[in-house]
This record gives sequence, C-alpha cells and structure tokens, in this order.
Amino acid sequence: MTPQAELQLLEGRSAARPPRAPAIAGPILEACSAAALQLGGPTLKSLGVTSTIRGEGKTIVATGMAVVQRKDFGRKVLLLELDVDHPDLALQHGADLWPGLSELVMGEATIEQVIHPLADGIAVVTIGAAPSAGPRALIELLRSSVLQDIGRDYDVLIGDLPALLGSNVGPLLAETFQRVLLVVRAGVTPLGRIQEATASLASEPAVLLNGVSSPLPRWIRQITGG
Amino acid sequence: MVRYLETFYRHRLLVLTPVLLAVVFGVALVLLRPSLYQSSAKIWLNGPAMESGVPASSSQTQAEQQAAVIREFLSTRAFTAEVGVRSGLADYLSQASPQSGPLSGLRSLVGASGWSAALGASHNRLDDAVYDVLNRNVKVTADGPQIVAISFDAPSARVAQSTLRGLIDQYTDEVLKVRRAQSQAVVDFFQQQVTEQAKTLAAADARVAQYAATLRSSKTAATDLTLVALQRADDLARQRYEGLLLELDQAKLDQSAQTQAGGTGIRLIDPPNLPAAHLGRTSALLRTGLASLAAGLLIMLFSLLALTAADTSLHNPDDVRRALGLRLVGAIPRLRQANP
Repeated sequence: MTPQAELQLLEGRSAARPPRAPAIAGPILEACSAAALQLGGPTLKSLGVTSTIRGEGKTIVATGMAVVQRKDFGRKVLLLELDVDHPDLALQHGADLWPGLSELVMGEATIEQVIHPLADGIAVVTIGAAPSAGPRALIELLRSSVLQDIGRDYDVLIGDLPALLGSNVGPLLAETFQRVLLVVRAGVTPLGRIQEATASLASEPAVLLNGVSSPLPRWIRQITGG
Repeated sequence: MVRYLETFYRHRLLVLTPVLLAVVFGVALVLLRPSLYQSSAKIWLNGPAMESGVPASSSQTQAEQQAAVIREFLSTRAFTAEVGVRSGLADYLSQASPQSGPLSGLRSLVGASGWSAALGASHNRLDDAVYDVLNRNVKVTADGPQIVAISFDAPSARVAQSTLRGLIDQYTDEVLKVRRAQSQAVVDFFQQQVTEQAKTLAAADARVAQYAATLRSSKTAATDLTLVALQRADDLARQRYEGLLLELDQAKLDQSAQTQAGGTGIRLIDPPNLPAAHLGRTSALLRTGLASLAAGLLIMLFSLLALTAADTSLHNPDDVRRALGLRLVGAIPRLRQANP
C-alpha cells in the first residue's frame, strides 16, 4: 500500500469514528489502581507497558493505567502508541490516527498536531499515517529528544510498547521509560518465553497477571484454601 | 495435588474422554459378541495318563498335570485340526455364512471369542480358524486332585457339545497312541532279550550234552567237576530265559490292557452336555466394564501427568513469584469478554 493510500484510509477511518472515553471494565481498573500505587502512584513519570507476545492485554492495561492516573490522582496523561506492528490503541477508542509520531519525527507535523484528545485529561499520540514507516520513526524517536519534548505538558507518559519477543525496538523502547510493566496472560504464555522476554530487558519489570481464574469448583477451593 | 486438580478441571473433556471411550469399547466388546452356549465335561484320572512336557512340581496334582497336557495339545495345530475334522467344527466354520453388515467389522475387532472372525472361513485358513476358536473358547481346569473339567463355548449348543466330545476323544486317542508306542517298545525290548537268551540257553544245553557224551559212565559223570560247572551255567541261562519270558508276558499283558476300555487311565465321568440356554452376559458386562474403567482411569492418570508437566504457563500470583521471581503488582480476573 502506498503512503497516499494509507493516508486516505486513515483519514476515512478517523472521520468515521468520533473519539470516545475509554470504557474499561471495573475489575481491570481495580487491578490497575492497585498496580499504580505499587508503581509510584502520583509520583510516576513514565510507564512502558509491554508483554512477552502479542494478545496478552497490554493495550487495555496501558489504557487502564492512563484512566487510573487521571481518575485516582487527577493527573494529565499522555498515551503513546508505540506498537508499530499492531497499532490498535487509537483505533479502539476512535481517536485520530493521523498525524502521529512518524510525521513528527519526519518534521511533517508539530507536537501540538500529533497529540489527539481521548478523554478529559487524557490524550493519545498514534504511530502515524504510515505504519510501514513506524520502525524507522521509533529509531529516530530513540535518537532524538522528542519523547521528552512531547511529554512536557503532561504529568505522566504511558507507552503501549511492542511485545518483547519478535521486536527489535521493544527492549530499547522499554529502557526510555521510568518503569516497565510486563503484562502476562495467565495460562497462555509459556514460562520459557516469559523468561526469554524479561532477559532482554535492562531492568527487572513489574508483572501484572491478566485473566486469572481457577477452574476448580468453589467447594474444592475452600478445602484447598485456594 | 492442586495443580493436578486444576489440570483436570481445565481439560475435563480431554481427560474424561479416554475413560468414556474405554467403557464404551468394553461394553461393545460384550454386547457385540454372539450369544454363546457352553458345553462342559469332567474326566477322572485313575493313573498317570501322560507326562507333561513341563517339569511337574511335587505340589502339582495329577489333574493339574493333565490339564497342562491338554493345554499343550491345544497349542498344536495338528491336534486342533484333528479335533476340527472329527467333531465337525471345521465343517461348521466353513459352511456358516460370514458376518456382514455395518457392525461386522466392529464385531471382528472386538470379538474376543474369535467366532466373528472365524465364521465363514475359507478353506485355506480353516485350520487357523479352528485353532483360533479352540484356543479362545476351551477352558481346562483341575477340579480336584484327579478330576479335570473342560468346557467349550460356541454359538450353537450342538456345536459346543460335539466339539467338546471330539476334543476329549482326540485327547484320549493321543494318550492311547503314546501309551501303545511305549508298551510296544517294552515288548520289543523283551522280545529281543528273550531271543538272545534262547540262543545262549541252547548253546549251554549243547555244551552239557556234548561233554556228557564224552564220559564213560554215569558214575563218573556225577563226580566230574567240569560237567557240574557246565550244568550250573546251563541252569543259570535257563533261569534267566524263564525270567525274561515272564517279563515279556507281562509287557504283552500291559499292551493288551491298553486296548481295553479304561486302559488309558482316563474315565469320562460327565460326558459333554447339550446346553439348554446361552451364557448370561451380566457377569461378563460387569467384569469387562470394570476392566475397561480401570484401563480408562489409567490412561486418564497418564494424561493428567503429561498435561500438567507440559503446561508451563503461569496461572496464579504464586506462580509468578515462584517461577519468575519478579515483583507482582496486580492480577486481573478473567472476564467473560476477552480483553483486546
């Protein structure tokens, strides 16, 4: 697909969907609220949310952490869509997809133009018009001081990072955040893969376990104390 | 333990399927088997009928030894083929129509009695079919120190009776054949000994007569030491000859006794009966059902062990701390709608 065609497609999708406040399920917000307190609460400057493989729920957790920072601590939050392989953060919430980081890094848009409001006190920066140019944009992002500049007017930056396995820039991007939160899908991701993913990080991440459930009936759980 | 329970509840269908299949297979095994009639007979042993090839332990009764002998015979194709011919079992198998229809394959597969596969056997594999049927359906047990019980299951009451009768007759014939061969060998041995001894005796007689003729009077004959020695040797040869004659007579007597009724040392106390009703299936169902259940549970156990060992994913907060050693900051319960 040519960049022009991608642009037209994104413009069409953006126009069709008005921005809407993120609707996050109560249990997810409760878990994010508890996690936010342990990760620094109102003192947290930036948080990168990642996972071992895709589909573990990092995007919803990143959004949940943003909502918690806004609701619980009244802070201004900027969500950064950095998962170039599956940029669906803005799509899920109907935010404008363009212009984004790609355009900002290439000098085709200003910081003010790439920040799209998502809800009260929460804004989002997408990967931009050309997802195929995303990896290049991310490398430029790592080289430049754009991340510091873009978050100047916000209390906290929350990045939806690529999954660690299968992404070269994922571990590098994680290093640019004050704290890293690793989302692990319970009962799905093999332990070996998780260990492989955490080994690629420079610092130990905190872990949020997603989709915890016990298949045992209640009476057995009562007996076993589970 | 909790991990195994969790695996069980997580993969309920997978781990319970082998149990269900095993029980269904076991029940089908019994239900799809043709109705069988059982004919039984008892034989009494009043002497050592035949030595078993297996060394008999001192604690084995005569009946147990003979039961082992019959089982050995059943393991030979020559014996089973003879039984098949003389009892009419071979004819029955060749003339019966082979089972057809959608269940015939399953019947053959699960038919533990071997009848499903044997019915309608072609000529070139008739002996194999007879061998298979006899080995699967004949039961030989020692029913006391001197009584052997034999039974045979067949789809027809008459076939069950005639086959069992044929089997016992063939066994009796085999015993007779062996004993006759043994007694003939004894007779032959003594016959040869008697012939040789007769020659020795005739030579001794001739020497005495020849020497006596050289003496002048009977008075000197009475005191002649050589003659006395020759006469003593002649007497000894005669005694030996007469002893051998007695042994030969005894051997011939034994041989003729083999041909008389009861000469085999085997007496048929209960002849093969004509069963009036086919065998009940309740006990077979119960037995097979329990065995299948046990087999299924064993498979289930191995499946559980394998599934638990193969699952290295993290399921609860404790797993994160134990396996990763990382700080857990929260856990989101599983929601009905999948997280994007």
